[in-house]
Amino acid sequence: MNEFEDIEKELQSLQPKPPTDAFTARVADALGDSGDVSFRRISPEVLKPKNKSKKLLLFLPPALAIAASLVWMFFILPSHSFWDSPVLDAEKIEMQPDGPLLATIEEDAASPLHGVSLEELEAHSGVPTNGWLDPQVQQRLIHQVDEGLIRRPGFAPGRQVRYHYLDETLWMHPTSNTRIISTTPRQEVLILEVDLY
Amino acid sequence: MNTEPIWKSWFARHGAKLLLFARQQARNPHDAEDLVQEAFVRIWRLYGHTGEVAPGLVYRQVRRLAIDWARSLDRRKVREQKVVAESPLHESFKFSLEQDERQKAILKVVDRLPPEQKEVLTLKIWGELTFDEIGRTLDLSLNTVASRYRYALQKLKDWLPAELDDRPQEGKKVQK
Repeated sequence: MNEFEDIEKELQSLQPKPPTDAFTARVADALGDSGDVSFRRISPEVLKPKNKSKKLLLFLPPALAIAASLVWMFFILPSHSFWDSPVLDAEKIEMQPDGPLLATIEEDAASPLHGVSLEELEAHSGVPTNGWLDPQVQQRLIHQVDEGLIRRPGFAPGRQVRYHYLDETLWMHPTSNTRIISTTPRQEVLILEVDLY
Repeated sequence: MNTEPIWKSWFARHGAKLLLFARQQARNPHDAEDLVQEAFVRIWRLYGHTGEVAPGLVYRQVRRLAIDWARSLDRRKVREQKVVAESPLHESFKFSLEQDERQKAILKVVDRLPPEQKEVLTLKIWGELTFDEIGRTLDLSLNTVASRYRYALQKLKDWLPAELDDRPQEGKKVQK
Protein backbone atom coordinates (compact mmCIF):
# COMPACT_ATOMS: atom_id res chain seq x y z
CA MET A 1 0.00 0.00 0.00
CA ASN A 2 1.17 3.48 -0.89
CA GLU A 3 2.16 5.41 2.27
CA PHE A 4 0.48 8.54 0.85
CA GLU A 5 -2.74 6.84 -0.19
CA ASP A 6 -4.83 8.42 2.57
CA ILE A 7 -3.67 11.95 1.95
CA GLU A 8 -4.09 11.48 -1.81
CA LYS A 9 -7.66 10.28 -1.32
CA GLU A 10 -8.40 13.20 0.95
CA LEU A 11 -7.04 15.67 -1.59
CA GLN A 12 -8.99 14.03 -4.40
CA SER A 13 -12.19 14.38 -2.40
CA LEU A 14 -11.84 18.16 -2.62
CA GLN A 15 -13.50 19.52 -5.74
CA PRO A 16 -12.52 22.81 -7.35
CA LYS A 17 -15.35 25.25 -7.99
CA PRO A 18 -16.81 24.97 -11.49
CA PRO A 19 -16.48 27.93 -13.86
CA THR A 20 -19.23 30.49 -13.45
CA ASP A 21 -21.93 30.77 -16.10
CA ALA A 22 -20.70 34.25 -16.94
CA PHE A 23 -17.20 32.90 -17.60
CA THR A 24 -18.52 30.03 -19.73
CA ALA A 25 -20.57 32.54 -21.71
CA ARG A 26 -17.44 34.63 -22.19
CA VAL A 27 -15.57 31.60 -23.51
CA ALA A 28 -18.49 30.84 -25.87
CA ASP A 29 -18.27 34.39 -27.23
CA ALA A 30 -14.53 34.13 -27.65
CA LEU A 31 -14.82 30.79 -29.45
CA GLY A 32 -17.34 32.14 -31.94
CA ASP A 33 -17.85 29.84 -34.89
CA SER A 34 -15.01 27.56 -33.82
CA GLY A 35 -17.28 26.28 -31.06
CA ASP A 36 -19.77 25.00 -33.59
CA VAL A 37 -17.46 22.74 -35.56
CA SER A 38 -18.24 19.59 -33.59
CA PHE A 39 -21.45 18.53 -31.96
CA ARG A 40 -22.64 15.58 -29.98
CA ARG A 41 -26.09 14.14 -29.95
CA ILE A 42 -28.05 14.26 -26.74
CA SER A 43 -30.52 11.51 -26.11
CA PRO A 44 -34.04 12.87 -25.52
CA GLU A 45 -34.14 10.95 -22.22
CA VAL A 46 -31.30 13.08 -20.90
CA LEU A 47 -33.15 16.27 -21.71
CA LYS A 48 -36.54 15.23 -20.36
CA PRO A 49 -36.91 15.72 -16.61
CA LYS A 50 -38.01 12.43 -15.13
CA ASN A 51 -41.49 12.71 -13.71
CA LYS A 52 -41.63 9.84 -11.27
CA SER A 53 -45.02 10.68 -9.79
CA LYS A 54 -46.60 10.63 -13.27
CA LYS A 55 -45.04 7.27 -13.98
CA LEU A 56 -46.27 5.94 -10.66
CA LEU A 57 -49.83 6.98 -11.46
CA LEU A 58 -49.52 5.33 -14.85
CA PHE A 59 -48.44 2.00 -13.41
CA LEU A 60 -50.69 2.01 -10.35
CA PRO A 61 -53.93 0.67 -11.94
CA PRO A 62 -52.26 -2.33 -13.69
CA ALA A 63 -50.29 -3.11 -10.54
CA LEU A 64 -53.49 -3.12 -8.45
CA ALA A 65 -55.20 -5.36 -11.01
CA ILE A 66 -52.29 -7.84 -10.92
CA ALA A 67 -52.28 -7.83 -7.11
CA ALA A 68 -56.05 -8.49 -7.03
CA SER A 69 -55.65 -11.38 -9.49
CA LEU A 70 -52.89 -12.93 -7.38
CA VAL A 71 -54.99 -12.68 -4.22
CA TRP A 72 -57.92 -14.31 -6.03
CA MET A 73 -55.70 -17.10 -7.43
CA PHE A 74 -53.91 -18.03 -4.23
CA PHE A 75 -56.44 -17.34 -1.47
CA ILE A 76 -59.96 -17.46 -2.87
CA LEU A 77 -59.63 -20.18 -5.51
CA PRO A 78 -58.08 -22.85 -3.23
CA SER A 79 -60.98 -22.54 -0.79
CA HIS A 80 -63.58 -23.06 -3.54
CA SER A 81 -65.32 -26.48 -3.65
CA PHE A 82 -64.81 -27.22 -7.35
CA TRP A 83 -61.05 -27.20 -6.74
CA ASP A 84 -61.49 -30.52 -4.93
CA SER A 85 -63.58 -32.10 -7.70
CA PRO A 86 -62.14 -35.28 -9.17
CA VAL A 87 -61.87 -33.84 -12.67
CA LEU A 88 -58.12 -33.84 -12.47
CA ASP A 89 -57.94 -37.40 -11.21
CA ALA A 90 -55.15 -38.98 -13.16
CA GLU A 91 -56.92 -42.32 -13.46
CA LYS A 92 -59.79 -40.76 -15.37
CA ILE A 93 -57.65 -39.24 -18.04
CA GLU A 94 -57.95 -41.42 -21.05
CA MET A 95 -54.68 -42.18 -22.69
CA GLN A 96 -54.45 -41.80 -26.40
CA PRO A 97 -53.93 -45.01 -28.28
CA ASP A 98 -50.39 -45.73 -29.37
CA GLY A 99 -49.64 -44.81 -32.94
CA PRO A 100 -47.56 -42.61 -35.19
CA LEU A 101 -47.95 -39.02 -34.01
CA LEU A 102 -46.46 -37.46 -37.07
CA ALA A 103 -47.10 -38.39 -40.62
CA THR A 104 -44.03 -39.60 -42.40
CA ILE A 105 -42.53 -36.66 -44.30
CA GLU A 106 -40.40 -37.11 -47.31
CA GLU A 107 -37.43 -34.79 -47.16
CA ASP A 108 -36.19 -33.02 -50.28
CA ALA A 109 -32.54 -32.19 -49.67
CA ALA A 110 -32.55 -29.43 -52.29
CA SER A 111 -35.56 -27.65 -50.84
CA PRO A 112 -34.98 -24.80 -48.38
CA LEU A 113 -38.22 -25.62 -46.53
CA HIS A 114 -38.57 -28.60 -44.24
CA GLY A 115 -41.06 -31.12 -45.57
CA VAL A 116 -41.81 -29.23 -48.78
CA SER A 117 -40.36 -30.47 -52.01
CA LEU A 118 -38.99 -28.11 -54.64
CA GLU A 119 -41.90 -28.89 -56.98
CA GLU A 120 -44.43 -28.07 -54.29
CA LEU A 121 -42.58 -24.91 -53.44
CA GLU A 122 -42.53 -23.82 -57.06
CA ALA A 123 -46.21 -24.61 -57.52
CA HIS A 124 -47.33 -22.75 -54.42
CA SER A 125 -45.08 -19.69 -54.63
CA GLY A 126 -45.12 -19.17 -58.37
CA VAL A 127 -41.40 -18.45 -58.22
CA PRO A 128 -39.02 -20.62 -60.19
CA THR A 129 -36.55 -22.60 -58.08
CA ASN A 130 -33.83 -23.02 -60.68
CA GLY A 131 -31.94 -20.61 -62.86
CA TRP A 132 -31.13 -17.93 -60.24
CA LEU A 133 -27.92 -15.97 -60.58
CA ASP A 134 -25.51 -15.69 -57.68
CA PRO A 135 -26.85 -13.12 -55.19
CA GLN A 136 -25.28 -9.67 -55.27
CA VAL A 137 -24.46 -8.33 -51.82
CA GLN A 138 -23.97 -4.62 -51.27
CA GLN A 139 -23.18 -2.70 -48.11
CA ARG A 140 -24.36 0.93 -48.06
CA LEU A 141 -23.19 3.41 -45.44
CA ILE A 142 -26.15 5.57 -44.47
CA HIS A 143 -24.46 7.82 -41.96
CA GLN A 144 -21.94 7.88 -39.15
CA VAL A 145 -22.30 9.41 -35.72
CA ASP A 146 -19.43 10.48 -33.53
CA GLU A 147 -20.63 9.66 -30.04
CA GLY A 148 -17.71 11.31 -28.30
CA LEU A 149 -15.10 10.14 -25.87
CA ILE A 150 -15.70 7.05 -23.78
CA ARG A 151 -13.70 5.79 -20.85
CA ARG A 152 -12.72 2.15 -20.78
CA PRO A 153 -11.52 0.60 -17.52
CA GLY A 154 -7.94 -0.53 -17.92
CA PHE A 155 -7.52 1.01 -21.38
CA ALA A 156 -6.80 4.41 -22.84
CA PRO A 157 -9.94 6.47 -23.58
CA GLY A 158 -11.40 6.01 -27.03
CA ARG A 159 -13.64 7.82 -29.44
CA GLN A 160 -16.82 5.90 -30.18
CA VAL A 161 -18.08 6.14 -33.75
CA ARG A 162 -21.32 4.43 -34.79
CA TYR A 163 -21.82 3.52 -38.45
CA HIS A 164 -25.30 2.84 -39.81
CA TYR A 165 -25.31 0.48 -42.79
CA LEU A 166 -27.94 -1.06 -45.02
CA ASP A 167 -26.99 -4.52 -46.23
CA GLU A 168 -28.74 -5.28 -49.52
CA THR A 169 -28.90 -8.68 -51.14
CA LEU A 170 -30.27 -8.94 -54.66
CA TRP A 171 -31.35 -12.22 -56.23
CA MET A 172 -32.07 -12.19 -59.98
CA HIS A 173 -33.82 -14.70 -62.19
CA PRO A 174 -33.24 -13.59 -65.77
CA THR A 175 -35.58 -16.09 -67.43
CA SER A 176 -38.66 -14.90 -65.57
CA ASN A 177 -37.24 -11.39 -65.06
CA THR A 178 -37.75 -11.74 -61.30
CA ARG A 179 -35.80 -9.71 -58.79
CA ILE A 180 -35.87 -10.08 -55.03
CA ILE A 181 -34.18 -7.52 -52.81
CA SER A 182 -33.63 -8.04 -49.13
CA THR A 183 -32.53 -5.02 -47.06
CA THR A 184 -31.21 -5.37 -43.55
CA PRO A 185 -30.21 -2.42 -41.35
CA ARG A 186 -27.00 -2.91 -39.39
CA GLN A 187 -24.97 -0.85 -36.93
CA GLU A 188 -21.26 -1.08 -36.39
CA VAL A 189 -19.52 0.57 -33.46
CA LEU A 190 -15.84 1.40 -33.73
CA ILE A 191 -13.74 2.60 -30.83
CA LEU A 192 -10.78 4.61 -32.03
CA GLU A 193 -7.93 5.01 -29.61
CA VAL A 194 -7.32 8.61 -28.64
CA ASP A 195 -3.83 9.91 -28.30
CA LEU A 196 -3.73 11.39 -24.84
CA TYR A 197 -1.17 13.98 -25.73
CA MET B 1 -32.43 15.14 -32.46
CA ASN B 2 -30.94 17.60 -29.98
CA THR B 3 -27.31 18.48 -30.24
CA GLU B 4 -24.81 20.35 -28.13
CA PRO B 5 -21.40 21.73 -29.09
CA ILE B 6 -18.78 19.29 -27.79
CA TRP B 7 -16.70 22.07 -26.30
CA LYS B 8 -19.40 22.73 -23.70
CA SER B 9 -19.24 19.26 -22.20
CA TRP B 10 -15.44 19.35 -22.47
CA PHE B 11 -15.32 22.66 -20.64
CA ALA B 12 -17.76 21.49 -17.98
CA ARG B 13 -15.44 18.53 -17.33
CA HIS B 14 -12.10 20.32 -17.35
CA GLY B 15 -12.86 24.02 -16.81
CA ALA B 16 -12.68 23.94 -13.02
CA LYS B 17 -9.34 22.09 -13.02
CA LEU B 18 -7.89 24.45 -15.61
CA LEU B 19 -8.95 27.47 -13.59
CA LEU B 20 -7.35 26.01 -10.48
CA PHE B 21 -4.08 25.50 -12.33
CA ALA B 22 -4.29 28.93 -13.92
CA ARG B 23 -4.83 30.50 -10.49
CA GLN B 24 -1.43 29.20 -9.48
CA GLN B 25 0.17 30.53 -12.63
CA ALA B 26 -1.49 33.92 -12.52
CA ARG B 27 -2.10 34.48 -8.81
CA ASN B 28 -5.10 36.57 -9.71
CA PRO B 29 -8.59 35.16 -10.32
CA HIS B 30 -9.31 37.53 -13.20
CA ASP B 31 -6.02 36.87 -14.94
CA ALA B 32 -6.56 33.16 -14.38
CA GLU B 33 -9.87 33.33 -16.21
CA ASP B 34 -8.26 35.29 -19.04
CA LEU B 35 -5.48 32.72 -19.25
CA VAL B 36 -7.89 29.78 -19.40
CA GLN B 37 -10.07 31.52 -21.97
CA GLU B 38 -7.16 32.43 -24.22
CA ALA B 39 -5.50 29.01 -23.93
CA PHE B 40 -8.70 27.06 -24.44
CA VAL B 41 -9.82 29.13 -27.44
CA ARG B 42 -6.41 28.82 -29.10
CA ILE B 43 -6.28 25.05 -28.67
CA TRP B 44 -9.91 24.45 -29.55
CA ARG B 45 -9.53 26.44 -32.77
CA LEU B 46 -6.65 24.17 -33.71
CA TYR B 47 -8.03 20.80 -32.66
CA GLY B 48 -11.73 21.34 -31.89
CA HIS B 49 -12.82 19.91 -35.23
CA THR B 50 -11.63 16.49 -34.02
CA GLY B 51 -14.31 16.63 -31.34
CA GLU B 52 -11.94 16.09 -28.45
CA VAL B 53 -8.86 17.81 -27.16
CA ALA B 54 -6.32 16.30 -24.76
CA PRO B 55 -6.48 18.39 -21.56
CA GLY B 56 -2.68 18.34 -21.34
CA LEU B 57 -2.51 20.58 -24.41
CA VAL B 58 -4.60 23.28 -22.75
CA TYR B 59 -2.66 23.05 -19.46
CA ARG B 60 0.55 23.51 -21.40
CA GLN B 61 -0.89 26.46 -23.29
CA VAL B 62 -2.01 28.05 -20.00
CA ARG B 63 1.50 27.80 -18.66
CA ARG B 64 3.14 29.20 -21.78
CA LEU B 65 0.74 32.11 -21.88
CA ALA B 66 1.32 32.79 -18.19
CA ILE B 67 5.06 32.98 -18.82
CA ASP B 68 4.56 35.26 -21.84
CA TRP B 69 2.20 37.52 -19.96
CA ALA B 70 4.50 37.74 -16.96
CA ARG B 71 7.36 38.79 -19.25
CA SER B 72 5.26 41.42 -20.93
CA LEU B 73 4.21 43.09 -17.69
CA ASP B 74 6.59 45.52 -16.11
CA ARG B 75 7.93 44.79 -12.65
CA ARG B 76 5.86 47.42 -10.91
CA LYS B 77 2.63 45.93 -12.23
CA VAL B 78 3.67 42.43 -11.19
CA ARG B 79 4.38 43.67 -7.68
CA GLU B 80 1.02 45.41 -7.42
CA GLN B 81 -0.74 42.40 -8.80
CA LYS B 82 0.81 40.09 -6.22
CA VAL B 83 -0.19 42.34 -3.35
CA VAL B 84 -3.77 42.57 -4.56
CA ALA B 85 -4.21 39.06 -5.75
CA GLU B 86 -2.71 36.69 -3.20
CA SER B 87 -5.86 34.82 -2.24
CA PRO B 88 -6.06 31.56 -0.30
CA LEU B 89 -6.40 28.33 -2.24
CA HIS B 90 -9.57 27.30 -0.42
CA GLU B 91 -11.47 30.07 -2.25
CA SER B 92 -11.19 27.97 -5.39
CA PHE B 93 -12.86 24.91 -3.85
CA LYS B 94 -16.31 23.67 -2.99
CA PHE B 95 -16.84 22.59 0.61
CA SER B 96 -19.19 20.30 2.42
CA LEU B 97 -20.42 21.71 5.72
CA GLU B 98 -19.40 18.68 7.80
CA GLN B 99 -15.77 18.67 6.77
CA ASP B 100 -15.35 22.36 6.21
CA GLU B 101 -12.63 22.96 8.82
CA ARG B 102 -10.55 19.91 7.94
CA GLN B 103 -10.73 20.63 4.24
CA LYS B 104 -9.70 24.23 4.75
CA ALA B 105 -6.78 23.05 6.88
CA ILE B 106 -5.63 20.68 4.13
CA LEU B 107 -5.79 23.43 1.53
CA LYS B 108 -3.98 25.83 3.82
CA VAL B 109 -1.15 23.33 4.04
CA VAL B 110 -1.19 22.89 0.25
CA ASP B 111 -0.94 26.66 -0.05
CA ARG B 112 2.25 26.63 2.03
CA LEU B 113 3.98 24.25 -0.38
CA PRO B 114 6.71 25.66 -2.63
CA PRO B 115 5.10 26.75 -5.95
CA GLU B 116 6.96 24.14 -8.02
CA GLN B 117 5.63 21.35 -5.80
CA LYS B 118 2.16 22.83 -5.61
CA GLU B 119 1.75 22.97 -9.40
CA VAL B 120 2.82 19.33 -9.75
CA LEU B 121 0.42 18.32 -6.99
CA THR B 122 -2.42 20.30 -8.58
CA LEU B 123 -1.90 18.76 -12.00
CA LYS B 124 -1.65 15.27 -10.56
CA ILE B 125 -4.48 15.35 -8.02
CA TRP B 126 -7.04 17.70 -9.57
CA GLY B 127 -5.86 17.83 -13.16
CA GLU B 128 -5.70 14.01 -13.22
CA LEU B 129 -2.68 14.10 -15.53
CA THR B 130 -0.06 11.38 -15.58
CA PHE B 131 3.53 12.13 -14.53
CA ASP B 132 4.48 11.99 -18.19
CA GLU B 133 1.82 14.56 -19.13
CA ILE B 134 2.83 16.78 -16.21
CA GLY B 135 6.45 16.58 -17.35
CA ARG B 136 5.44 17.76 -20.84
CA THR B 137 3.22 20.50 -19.45
CA LEU B 138 5.88 21.92 -17.15
CA ASP B 139 8.89 21.03 -19.32
CA LEU B 140 10.34 18.83 -16.61
CA SER B 141 11.79 15.34 -16.57
CA LEU B 142 9.68 12.46 -15.34
CA ASN B 143 11.96 11.96 -12.33
CA THR B 144 11.73 15.61 -11.32
CA VAL B 145 7.95 15.51 -11.51
CA ALA B 146 7.72 12.30 -9.50
CA SER B 147 10.10 13.52 -6.81
CA ARG B 148 8.36 16.91 -6.50
CA TYR B 149 5.06 15.13 -6.09
CA ARG B 150 6.49 12.86 -3.44
CA TYR B 151 8.08 15.77 -1.55
CA ALA B 152 4.78 17.62 -1.65
CA LEU B 153 2.86 14.68 -0.22
CA GLN B 154 5.49 14.14 2.45
CA LYS B 155 5.24 17.77 3.52
CA LEU B 156 1.47 17.61 3.61
CA LYS B 157 1.64 14.51 5.75
CA ASP B 158 4.09 16.16 8.14
CA TRP B 159 2.41 19.56 8.34
CA LEU B 160 -1.25 18.58 8.44
CA PRO B 161 -1.45 17.34 12.07
CA ALA B 162 0.07 20.59 13.35
CA GLU B 163 -2.27 22.64 11.16
CA LEU B 164 -5.26 20.71 12.45
CA ASP B 165 -4.12 21.24 16.06
CA ASP B 166 -3.77 24.96 15.44
CA ARG B 167 -7.21 25.46 13.99
CA PRO B 168 -9.33 25.25 17.21
CA GLN B 169 -6.95 27.74 18.82
CA GLU B 170 -7.45 30.09 15.88
CA GLY B 171 -11.18 29.74 16.37
CA LYS B 172 -10.85 30.68 20.05
CA LYS B 173 -8.74 33.69 19.17
CA VAL B 174 -11.41 34.86 16.78
CA GLN B 175 -14.12 34.43 19.43
CA LYS B 176 -12.17 36.58 21.87
